Amino acid sequence: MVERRNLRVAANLAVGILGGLALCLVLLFAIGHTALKTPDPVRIIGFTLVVALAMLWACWFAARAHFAEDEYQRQQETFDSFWGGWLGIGASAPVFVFIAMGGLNWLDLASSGRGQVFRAFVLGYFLPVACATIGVIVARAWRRLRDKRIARQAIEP
Amino acid sequence: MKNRLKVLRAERNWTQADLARRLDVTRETVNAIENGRYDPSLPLAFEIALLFEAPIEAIFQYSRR
Repeated sequence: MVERRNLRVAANLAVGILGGLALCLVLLFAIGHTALKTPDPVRIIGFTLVVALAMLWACWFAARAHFAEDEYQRQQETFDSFWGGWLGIGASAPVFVFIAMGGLNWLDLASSGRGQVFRAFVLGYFLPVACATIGVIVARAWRRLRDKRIARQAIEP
Repeated sequence: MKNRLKVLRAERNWTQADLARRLDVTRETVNAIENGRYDPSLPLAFEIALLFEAPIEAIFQYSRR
């Protein structure tokens, strides 16, 4: 049976992530995602404000989820986020250098023109975020292995 | 740090879930403490001691690494 505390944590996380995504998607469908030839200030400010609002929403519920956890769960989460985050940011450095040195052109993944600049910007933004997320997953797997080893040692006479 | 949580719990015929409910933590936390994967905070250690009506040092034994 799922414990009430774990349900509260999961519910807060779900509302935070899905609510934030929904806010962004509603705006995307309302305004459209295709970039205009000339910058539209209303569109730019609108998107920026909605993404800021979505992030605030997600952070608020992430904080609620964090404080709904007990001390052991919080310690696990802090370990995963800290070491995973650093691991991910560290791992993103060589990827960044590869892209900066023109690796995407070499692999023929980036075409010339405006699209290339946009793609570079998107990659630049998502690279550390994606790497940090992967890092958190790696740190969590490593911690679980370590915990199993400690538990085995505790059982042995 | 070693502890006698599993023994004390067994003496009272409590499951890990029972103990977790009494301490207001998750069953996962009780399991981690019993198996030596996690050393509880001082407030939680005091809560455990109060619950079992025993001094902390009778439940948790510190051993130098």
